[in-house]
Amino acid sequence: MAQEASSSTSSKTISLKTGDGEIFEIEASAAKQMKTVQRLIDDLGDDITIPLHNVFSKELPKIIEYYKKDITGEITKDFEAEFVKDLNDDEVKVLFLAANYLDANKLFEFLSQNIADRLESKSVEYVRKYFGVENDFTPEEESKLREERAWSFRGIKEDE
Amino acid sequence: MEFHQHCILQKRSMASTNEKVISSYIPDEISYSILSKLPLKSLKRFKCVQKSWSLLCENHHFMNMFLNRFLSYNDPTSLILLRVLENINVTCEEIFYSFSGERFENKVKLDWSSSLENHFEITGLFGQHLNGTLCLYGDYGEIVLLNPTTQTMKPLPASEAQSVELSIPDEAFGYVDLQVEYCLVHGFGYEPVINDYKVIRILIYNLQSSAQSDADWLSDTNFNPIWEIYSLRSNSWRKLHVNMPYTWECTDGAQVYMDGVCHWFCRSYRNVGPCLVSFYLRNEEFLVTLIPSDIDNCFDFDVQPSWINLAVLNEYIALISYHKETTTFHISILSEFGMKESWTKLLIVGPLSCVQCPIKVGTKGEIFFIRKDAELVWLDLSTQMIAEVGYKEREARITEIIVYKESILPN
Repeated sequence: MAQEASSSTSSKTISLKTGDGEIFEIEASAAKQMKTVQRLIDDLGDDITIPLHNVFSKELPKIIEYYKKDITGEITKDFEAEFVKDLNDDEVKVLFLAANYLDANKLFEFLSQNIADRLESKSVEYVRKYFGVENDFTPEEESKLREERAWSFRGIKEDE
Repeated sequence: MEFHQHCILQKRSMASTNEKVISSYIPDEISYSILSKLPLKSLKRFKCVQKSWSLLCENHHFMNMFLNRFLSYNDPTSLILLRVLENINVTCEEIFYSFSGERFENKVKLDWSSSLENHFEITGLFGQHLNGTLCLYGDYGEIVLLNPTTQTMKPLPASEAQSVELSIPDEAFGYVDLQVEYCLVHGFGYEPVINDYKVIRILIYNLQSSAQSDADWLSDTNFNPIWEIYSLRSNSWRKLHVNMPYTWECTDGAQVYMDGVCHWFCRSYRNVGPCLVSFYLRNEEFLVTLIPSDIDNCFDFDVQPSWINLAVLNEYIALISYHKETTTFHISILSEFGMKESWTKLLIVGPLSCVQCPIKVGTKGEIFFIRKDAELVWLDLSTQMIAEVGYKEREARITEIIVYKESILPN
């Protein structure tokens, strides 16, 4: 039963249920910033708890925190720095993928820049693991490529 | 941003602890959002991650993302100072215009008659800019620092070495006259640690005599080409004891300053091919970065020197060349000074059949040129659109421009 997304009063909240069964509240105006959520609201109505199968209770509160700041226009560089300060690379990745799933563009762009900054000086092996991709080069191909770009490996610790 | 509904997110519970281990694969499409934000050096290195990544530069979608981000950084708007020298009947009239605004839409005719007259005869708007100050130089060694906004001017003093005029007794020729033939400014920069502006130039001497072996004679003297550096704080020149590649051409726009370093382009020097010379103002040392011909081969055509300019793009040094045969502009950037392998061809724009003559590159990499209909236009690299400045060339006119940013530092 489709309903028009109500032009909400500021007190209208939407209930979101994570993949691991926890429920969180979010203001309707913040939900608007997450296109996936908005689509689900359009399809299911805003009185129903919206199921988010691919987002979990560890990430959703952080995402909600971001958009809470966004709707009051308070997102500053300092806030963003603070936001990711205590997260390790994997935690940022999970948030990033969740932002993608939720189609939350602003957060997605911010996190992708943050990940790029974190990966800047990392080794090729680390990046493979991080992106979950396999090395499909033969040893000869790889060593040739590395040789051609030797300058880009200078000062980089090839690791574990 | 593309919406990926099927991103794979797995979660396993560790039996012993309640810790959740998340392993996740980042699909190509969204990994581009991360990769396109990496600095060039990292991007080049990560091409070794997997095969599809080694082909990223040929992937249009990825390159669009990368270039959009690379070229659309926020910079204060720039201004154009335009000088027209026109032959009207018997007189030669010189007019200055300033163009300002997001799209250079505000055109103002400048009245500099009072400030410039009797102060300095600018033989051409030949020079460099830094923090709203222009360093202009003439044919005879005259250099002036000019702030177009305040209309203040400071002519630089002559140096001792520059004023040399010697008559040297010579066994074979009686007397040989030695004097400076060329004063070629190579750099105009700012040293932030000591808050000083610097100008770098080379003095090339000439022997006035019928001696055939000028060069040999000269090389035995202290009058090899001499490098000098000027400091605004001390208002004086000092000799530099370096042996750097220099260029006779000093092509307008082929020198640029970034971050405490003055860079200039050298088409050829002794046996060294086209290269970028980078002079560090802090410790007065320099680096030479060769330009391989597979990056840009426009220097191979000896018939007529091709047009090249240097620019700062997103904090990289960019080399922009015009290939007449194909009417294309080639933009290459340098990741690491001194490493010729770290040049990357970023973009080729064209063919642009409307180009009559390239003029200058702006502060954001925009390419100003005269179009076939005689309009002065500029090409925006990020949109690849061409817009008019609002000035038209006419016959018997010489037009020169400098594109500069207003000062962000207190003068």
